[in-house]
Parts: sequence; C-alpha cells; structure tokens
Amino acid sequence: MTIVIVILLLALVGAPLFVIIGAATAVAWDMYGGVPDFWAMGAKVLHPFETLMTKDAFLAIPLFVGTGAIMTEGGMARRLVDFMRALLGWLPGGMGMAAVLACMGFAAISGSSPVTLIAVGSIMFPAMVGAKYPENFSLGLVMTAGSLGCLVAPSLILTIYALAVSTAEHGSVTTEQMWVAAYVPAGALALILCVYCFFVGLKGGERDKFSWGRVWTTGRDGVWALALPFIVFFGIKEGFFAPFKAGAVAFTYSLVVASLIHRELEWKKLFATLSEAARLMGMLILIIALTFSLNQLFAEVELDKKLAKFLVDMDLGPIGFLLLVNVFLIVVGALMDSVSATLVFAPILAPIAVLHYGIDPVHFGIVFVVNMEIGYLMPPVATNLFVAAALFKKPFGQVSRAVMPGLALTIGAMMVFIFVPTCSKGLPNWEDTGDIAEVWEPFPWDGKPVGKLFGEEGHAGIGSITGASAEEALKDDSIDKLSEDDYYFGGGDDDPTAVEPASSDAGVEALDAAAEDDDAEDDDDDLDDVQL
Amino acid sequence: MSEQPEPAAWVPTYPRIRQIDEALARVERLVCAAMFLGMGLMVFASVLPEVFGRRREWIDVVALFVAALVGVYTRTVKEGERRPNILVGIGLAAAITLAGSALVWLYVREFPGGFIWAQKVAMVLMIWIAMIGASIATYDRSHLSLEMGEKLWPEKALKVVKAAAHAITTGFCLIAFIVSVQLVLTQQEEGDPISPAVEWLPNWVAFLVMPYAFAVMTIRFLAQSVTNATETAAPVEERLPS
Repeated sequence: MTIVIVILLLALVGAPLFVIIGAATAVAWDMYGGVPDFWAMGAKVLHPFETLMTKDAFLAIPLFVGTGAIMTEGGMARRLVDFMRALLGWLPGGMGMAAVLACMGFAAISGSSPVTLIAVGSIMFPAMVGAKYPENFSLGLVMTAGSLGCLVAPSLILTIYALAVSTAEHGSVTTEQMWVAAYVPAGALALILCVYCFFVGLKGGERDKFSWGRVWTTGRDGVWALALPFIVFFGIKEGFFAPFKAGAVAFTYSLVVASLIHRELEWKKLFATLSEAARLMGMLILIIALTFSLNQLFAEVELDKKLAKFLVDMDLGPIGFLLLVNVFLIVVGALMDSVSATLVFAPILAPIAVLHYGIDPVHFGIVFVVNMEIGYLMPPVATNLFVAAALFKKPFGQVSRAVMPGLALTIGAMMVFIFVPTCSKGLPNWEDTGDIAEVWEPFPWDGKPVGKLFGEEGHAGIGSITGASAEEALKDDSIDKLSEDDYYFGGGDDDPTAVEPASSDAGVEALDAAAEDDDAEDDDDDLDDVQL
Repeated sequence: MSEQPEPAAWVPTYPRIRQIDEALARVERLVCAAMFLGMGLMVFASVLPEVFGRRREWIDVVALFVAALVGVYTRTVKEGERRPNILVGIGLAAAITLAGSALVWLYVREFPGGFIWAQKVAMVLMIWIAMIGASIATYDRSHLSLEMGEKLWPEKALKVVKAAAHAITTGFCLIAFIVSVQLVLTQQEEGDPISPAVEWLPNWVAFLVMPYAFAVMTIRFLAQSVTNATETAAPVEERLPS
C-alpha cells in the first residue's frame, strides 16, 4: 500500500518517471528486501546499473536509435514516404496505405514507434489532410501505423522484451526469435490498416495520378532506404553479424548514405542529430537501469512464484490467463510507458505463462509486445498520442478520439494472434524445420506445451527456451528419460517416453520434471498439483 | 476587432548562471555526439573482420561495385553540378570499389580478430552517452513523466506543484549522486577491469560518469525548482520525443 501511495503522490505532482520508479523501488526494498539502512537501500537501487556492462545486446538500443535519428534528419525517411506514395497514392485510400507501408519500412530501421510517427507522420498527415481525407482518420491512421514500430524488427520493444526475460529462469527468448516471430503479426496489422484505408478512401479523399516515371524517380531516390531492412535481415539470417551488431551496420550505412549520397547531413547537423539521440537514450536508460533493481527485488522476494501460485489457484487455464494478462497489460500500457512496463512485467509474467500454462515463450512475447503497442495508443498515458498532439498541434481529446478505430482494429487483431499461435510461431517453425507442414502451431488449450522441447541448436521455439530447465531435469537421476541417441534414433522399449521425436513428449516430461523440481524446492503443496 | 495582447517578453534571471548552464549543455551535446559516432563506428569496425576475416569472395567485390555505381547515379546533384556520364560513372565506381576492397582487405589482414576491446569500450561509451544524455534531458526538461498529474491541478497551484516535483527530483538525484560516488569508490578499491580482455580499462572509469550526471542533474533540478516557485522559469518549447 505504501508503494502505491508513493507512486500516486509522485505521479500526481508530475515527477519524472525515473524518480517514480526509483522511489517506488527503494520503498519496496525497504519493506520487502530487508535492507539494513538507508544507504544500503540506495545501493540496492543504483548498483544494478552495473548490469548495463554485462549484456552486449544493450548496444542495439543506442545504435538503432541513432540510425533512426540519422534517417530522419538525413532525408531517408522522406524519400521512403515519397516512394510509397508514388506506388500506392493512386488507389482508393492509397495515401493512407502509403503512410502505413512507409511507417513499416521506416520502423524496420528506426525500431521506435514515436520516432516513426514523427518521421513519417509529419510528412503524411498534412499531405492526407491536404488531399481531403478526414482529419481524424488521417490523425488516427498515422498514430496507429506509427505504433507498428513496436512489431517490425529491429524493434526496440522486441529487443527490450528479449533482454528483460533473458535473466528469467523460464520463458527467456532471444532477440532473433522475437524479430522473426513478429514479421507475420506486423504484416497482418499493416494489411488490416490498408484494408481500412481502402474503405475510407472509397468514400472520399483525392488520389494521386499513377506514373511509372514518378515510381522510378522516387524509387531511385529511395533505394538506399528501402535496401537497409533487407541488409539487416539477411546479415543476421546468414549469420554475418549478431542483431546488436546489425545496429552498427545500419548506423554506419545510414551515416554514409545520408552524408555522402543524399548529402543532407553535414557535420553540424550530424552532431545535432546524434546529441538528440543521446538525449533520448538518457531518458530511456535511467528507467531501464532502475528497473534492473526492481527485477532483482522481484527475484529476491520470489514474486513470480507467489504470483504464479495466485494465478494457479485461480485455475484460469491458458485462455483465462491470457485474457487476464491482456486486460492487465492494456491497463499497465495505458498508465506506464512501454519500455518500463516491459522491463517490469515481462520477467514476471513470461515464466508463469511458459511453466504453468504451456504457452510458448515466443508466442507469449509477441502477445506481450502487441499489448505494449496498444499501450502506445491507449489514453491517458500513450506516448504516440502525446507525440501526435504536440506534433500536429491538436487537442489531446481529439487525438484520443481519432485513434479509437485504429485501436479497435489492433485489439481485434491481437485476439487472433492470441488464439492462433501460428501467427507468431509459424515463421520460426518453418525456419527451424524447413517444412511447410510444420508451420502450424496449435494453441495449448489444455495448458500443456505443444512446441518442441529439445530443438536443434538455434531452435526458434520452446526448445531453446526451456533448455535450462530441461538440462536440470536431465541431471536428476530420479527421472526416467531417454538417452540422446534414443531420443533422436528411437529405442528404449521399456521407456514410457520412447516416442517419435516430433511428438516431443520426452521434452514435456523434462519440463514437467523441472516444474516439479521447482515446486519441490518451494515446498508448496498447491503448486505440486500443477500439471503441464 | 480586439487584438490579443502580446505575452510579456521573458527576462532571464541570473543570466550568468544560465550562460554557464547553456555552455555546459553545449559541451555535453558535443561530447555525446562524438562518443555516439565513436561507438557506432567502433562496433562496425569489429563487424568487418567477423564478416570478411575468412571470406574472400568475388561476389562481394561485385556487390560493392554495383552499390558504388548506384551510389554515383543516385547521389544528390547540387546546383551547378552535373551527373557524370556513363564512362566517368563506371570509372568512379571502379575506383571506389578498388579503394573500398583494398581498405577492407588491409584492415582484416592487419587485424584478423578485430579489436577485442572494441565491444566493451563501446559499452562504456554507451553508459557515458546515456548518463550525459540524461543530464541533457534535464536541461531540456524532457524527462518522461506522467503528465496527467499536472492536468489535475488548478493553474494557481501548478507552479507550487511543479516546484515540489522538481524539489523531490532534486532530492532523488542528490541521493543518487552520493550512492554513485560510493559505487565508484568501491569499484576503485576492487580494481577490476571492465573485462578480462580489457585489463587496461578499470571498471570504475565506466561508471565515473554516474556521479557527474547525477551531480549536474541535482543542480539543474534545484534551479528548475527555484525558478518554478518564483515564476522565473524560461518558457519551454513544446516537447517532442525524438
């Protein structure tokens, strides 16, 4: 209760978010962490800053933020928009579609929703209003499309989610897995928004005249911006560089293109652009580093296990759990900014989803991130709404009303993503097996994991994620299990788990065992009843 | 028609202090930008040997030639300039390809493993950039906050509320400053390097920026608290997350 009062008081006076998180964390350490004195409490809050030095993947954040800033100031975003407009502006609602696809293309490189909204929205919103599209439609569309930045790799939120759960015992995913899994949901959302634009465009809005010459000219100018997402994607996919190093490739590429080819980024402008990116980093990193302390406290007081017990006692099942989590995350997303919400809640919820409800961690990660995307749009605390209100000089009330259709479409799409895990797992499954028949990923209606647990190296599904728990289980002599040879080549007639590898029951056994092992450590009878 | 009265021009108080603050913010921006550039290029330099260290493919040279050719013909032509004709364009692209390939070849030959320290030093730079960036965000008054709080207060109470918020933040930053000094002193005593592979760079250097940033933030938030309470705060431009 004290923590809630502290948060409310600080929020009411408009204290910066890093102060709210820091103060709440300090109070929480004092109440639950058993710190001996005031300075020890301070140390608990600030010393986890050292974690920043331990994870290379953090480098992706400044590098992609810098890339986005260079692309905006160096004219690459404008060229991307021009090309999309030349390509689609002649269709009913074509300018809206151009805005959506330009947002996707730009977000694919900048990795940030607000940056995308500023870069593309500031060009497309006046153009759409000028072409007699309804003002609220135009406003809502650029805000919603800008929030697609959450889902298009290399998104900051996808990266931050992977980092946030990386220390969790169960439910961790890699950045690459999240990036690959997000392609289909991002594409589906873009398609839905394009269809919406089409129907609005049938009622009104001017169209551009199609011209191959214009497509060629704008395509030639925009070729460098269009090529970057492919370079990043194939560079990572072919194993040339790690995702965080892709940030350095994108950074250097955009630097060369903006300064030497587009010639719009002289030294003075470059320094101004990078110092702005640094300011944004400063706003983000303080919050990120402070949440490390909060995560440590959660681990120390075993909040995840307590929350798990609470949720298991409620006997929600995977459907009830996911719906409850969605409502919770939408509320959280509306009240907190997405980065801090991800850092605080992902490490708590992901292990519960994986361990107790059999939900694939990659699937859960995507559902979580789509919720965060909705958070960017959900009043009263919605980053994109604030940005749009300031950028387009519109009242906050109008901005909030304008985003409602887009918000409704996004929520509708999210419901599909939740209950059809293939939307997120299909591509990783296909990539992993190379077999189109393996694309389908059923929903774990009965709370049992349906993915493959003992995947090959680099498996993009549950296998690589529950590896730690599975290894623990393998070390436990009290558990019946297959040898690795038996698992891959069959055998073990007297072994009840001797099944085809594809059915992955051996892995389920291992996960079961790991869960039971955890429960046994807890000495908690209620949790012993949990079946995976 | 009645004309709206022009708002009274803002007269800065303590101009000397404001000048110093502005100069410091400029230096911080410059340092941050330089570090940002250094960090990006340093990580990129460590990517090159990973990609080309054991790879000698003609397809890479061809790809570079095509990219250079496209670059030559998509390069923005400024007033008074002309796009090169096809022969000159091909020649330029060939020269760029030759120079680029030679540079990469020399680089990966001389530094086949890249610079082991580059990644770790880049991470140190990241921390410095972020903390100085936090200080710049304080100068710009652009730290993220839940703005709904401000909207609940009547106009008259707002200046007191804002002053209180800044005062609380000042206290927080002051405590953070003291704790970060303790952290750096502890690290200095331990004497650990940032990584076993980078023994020449001690860990405390990476975090030395924390006391600096929190000290500057303390002073800036204190000044903002005072200027808010006395209604002498500089008008803030509309904030736009960038």
